[in-house]
Amino acid sequence: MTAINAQIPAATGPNPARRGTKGGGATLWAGLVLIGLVLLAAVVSLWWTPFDPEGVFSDSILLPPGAQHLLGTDSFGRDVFSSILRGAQISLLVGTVAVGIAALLGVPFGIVAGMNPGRLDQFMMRGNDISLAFPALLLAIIFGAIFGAGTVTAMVALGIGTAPAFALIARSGTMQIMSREYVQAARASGKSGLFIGVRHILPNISGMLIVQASVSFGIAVLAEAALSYLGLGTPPPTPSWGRMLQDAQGYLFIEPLLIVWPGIAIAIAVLGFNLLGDGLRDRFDPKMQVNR
Amino acid sequence: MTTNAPTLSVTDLRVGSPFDELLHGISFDIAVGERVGLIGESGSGKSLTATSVMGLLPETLAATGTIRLNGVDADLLTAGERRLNSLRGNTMAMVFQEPMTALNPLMRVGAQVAEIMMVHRTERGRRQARERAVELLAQVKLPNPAEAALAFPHQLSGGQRQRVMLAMAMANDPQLLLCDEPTTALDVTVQAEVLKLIGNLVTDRGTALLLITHDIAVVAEVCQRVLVMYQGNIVEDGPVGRVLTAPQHPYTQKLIAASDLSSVDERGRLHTMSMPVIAKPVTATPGTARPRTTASAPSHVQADAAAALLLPPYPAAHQRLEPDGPPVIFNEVAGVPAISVRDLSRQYRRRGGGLFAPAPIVHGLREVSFDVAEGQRFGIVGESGSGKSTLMRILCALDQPSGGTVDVLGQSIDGASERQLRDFRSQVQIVFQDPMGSLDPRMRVRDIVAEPLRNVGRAEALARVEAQLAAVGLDADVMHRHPHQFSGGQRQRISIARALITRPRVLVADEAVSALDVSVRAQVLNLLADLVDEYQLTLVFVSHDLGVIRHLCDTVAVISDGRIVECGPTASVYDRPLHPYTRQLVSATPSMDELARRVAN
Repeated sequence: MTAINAQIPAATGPNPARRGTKGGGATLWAGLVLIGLVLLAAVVSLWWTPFDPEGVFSDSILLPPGAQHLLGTDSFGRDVFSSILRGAQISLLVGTVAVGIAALLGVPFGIVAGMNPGRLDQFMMRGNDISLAFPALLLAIIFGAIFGAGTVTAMVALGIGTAPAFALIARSGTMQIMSREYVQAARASGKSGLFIGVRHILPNISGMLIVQASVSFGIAVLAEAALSYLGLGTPPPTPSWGRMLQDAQGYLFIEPLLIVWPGIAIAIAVLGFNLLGDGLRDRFDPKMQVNR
Repeated sequence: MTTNAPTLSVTDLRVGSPFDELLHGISFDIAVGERVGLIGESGSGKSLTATSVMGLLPETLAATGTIRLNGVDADLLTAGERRLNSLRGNTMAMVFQEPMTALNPLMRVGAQVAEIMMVHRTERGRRQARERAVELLAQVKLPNPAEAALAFPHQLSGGQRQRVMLAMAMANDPQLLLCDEPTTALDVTVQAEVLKLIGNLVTDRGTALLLITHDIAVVAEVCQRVLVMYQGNIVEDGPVGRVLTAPQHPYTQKLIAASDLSSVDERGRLHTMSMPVIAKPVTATPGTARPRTTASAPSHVQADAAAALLLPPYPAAHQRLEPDGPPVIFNEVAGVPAISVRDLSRQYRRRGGGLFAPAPIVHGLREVSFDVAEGQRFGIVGESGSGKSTLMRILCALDQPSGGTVDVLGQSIDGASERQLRDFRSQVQIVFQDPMGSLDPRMRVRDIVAEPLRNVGRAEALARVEAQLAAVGLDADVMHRHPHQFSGGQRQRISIARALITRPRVLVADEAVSALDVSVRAQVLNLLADLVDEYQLTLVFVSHDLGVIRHLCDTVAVISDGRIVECGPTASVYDRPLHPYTRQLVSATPSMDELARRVAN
């Protein structure tokens, strides 16, 4: 998005304060770098890891960090560094699919509610409030109990659980855009609700939605780790950061470092997405306010 | 106070951003008690001048030159924040355009006025300050000042809020009062009262006034002297009467000619401001379109007075609504009218009231009845809250009436389904006020203009868009750009192109020129007049500005408090208003000649 405010014909004359650099610079870059690290780990581990992260190696159990095993080995003799790299795959997969499901469910729901103020909106949003009050993690645990624990169950449950947040954002954005005169003009031309929703509203609230997506991504990564820790996420032997934490718990006093590495990995991913979200918000929001 | 020294002295003030110089060394003095108007269009640098004086320039801008205030030893440009704080609100005070955002919504207005005196310790204690605040509110003519002092800003009307702002500004008897577009957000009748109040306050106290506005009528009402700004320079400086009647600088001449909606050239068109006289072109900032000159709109139609004779059987009867009289059907047309409205009412439920109390009902429109003949140019004039926008929305079937009937082009709108309205939608189109908000920022111009078309192939749609853009005076190469690359006037042309592409029979315009600068306004009005003739449109033009309606429309309805109070041929309503409200409205929007006469007295 380029700086476009130089020409706004306000009756008060130019507002030079609106000029200047785009917001969100440092935060945005810090977020991108952290996420870049996670992405790199996931991509590299598709083809190469220093050791096989899925086997059992009885001759190398609980080794401390060293030249051969960079971050040491765990109770099955697996290389921790390799597991961390491979674990990034699951985290990103769960995050992407969960956010995708949440957006697919929540955004149309929110737009429909926002475009139909009155009874329908009230009805839909009260339903939304109820699901919003229901923790996504609890939903995932229930789903795990019913459909059996696993990566797919976790992704679907987290997607459904975070959809209400998307619906809220989409609705409030929709209500703003609905009052714009270009929407009125489209209505006066007899355009259908579907057309207005897709051509006018969705593109104009996409900025807000991207911000929400990046925040939800961090939440999903964290939730996947929590589920795996509880044994309801990715089943063994596929490495996952959350299950690495769970495994390490038993050796807390023998090898405390085992719990630190996956912890750092989770922190990097979640922090990265949150910073990205903040940076994007700074970048989009000032424009949201002055431009429309 | 020292004698002879000017209250404010600005010398060679230059303000620049890192990219561009915005003020090019302006100098002016304001004598003790002098009332000076600073006039210019958006981007001329007038607000920048005021913020420089107040020391409120944004940090990204750098200023050089000197600004001196009488009795203050320091140069205001280099004075520290501490020094400026002791001056602001005390020795010099400012009134802003939008009183709602300039007041703290969570604080009672009396306390806000008192606070100004507490900050500068001009009153001894809280009690004295509060008492003085009530006095001040009385001086700005707020009814029941003691009660008003206990009100929150949202409980007051716009005019009352601006009076509170004035009370705050005058609280410490400043030497200099700066007003930045103080009445632009107000209705015309309220504007007249507030301007009179400003004039009286500063004259009584001998305060010097710098009044910034885009509206030459405002300056004429209050000021003795006027400075005209254009592109960061003061191009003219002189007594109001002289500048109004005999402007020297070519820009001022054009500005005054374009402001005058009652004067037209030999072809019946408004004077526009294509300005080859002024050497410096408008600098194109990156990503913005270079302003184009006047529309090469189709002008094979002779828009002279004789054209009026070709119109349907006018003039309509000049009628008014009598108090407690029976409802009147205004502008009743024999035969089949294009628009026929009978006993139209619209009520809203306002949100709120008490938490458990039923929502109060607001009457947007009450029993409105009128006709508009085919080919008529029908103006609807009213102030904010009068119901004119509600009426416009109902005419375009964007809103449903609560009662009564509305027929447009033989189609009954009340209770019609979207399917029944399909044909109607292409026949009735609308142009909105806000050139920023009426175009989707994410769409390209070609998609915006083509939007109303139905069942038209892509190639044909593009051809029609191109033709339509040409008709409103824009080149074909604008098709691929986004709305933010255009100026306000160009955006309004795009809006008009979008409205006309379906070849509608009725065009509804909602304040279509109110957000535009004077020079651009004249161009857009000329264009609208041309197109209405060429496409033989029935025009419904909604505005708060009587002058614009007078120029463009042959018939006008005055709407107040949800009712049409008067309706008739525009000239007749303007010259011989029957209803007291119309009289008030007419006197609040004087023509240029009338202004000059008032200034002369």
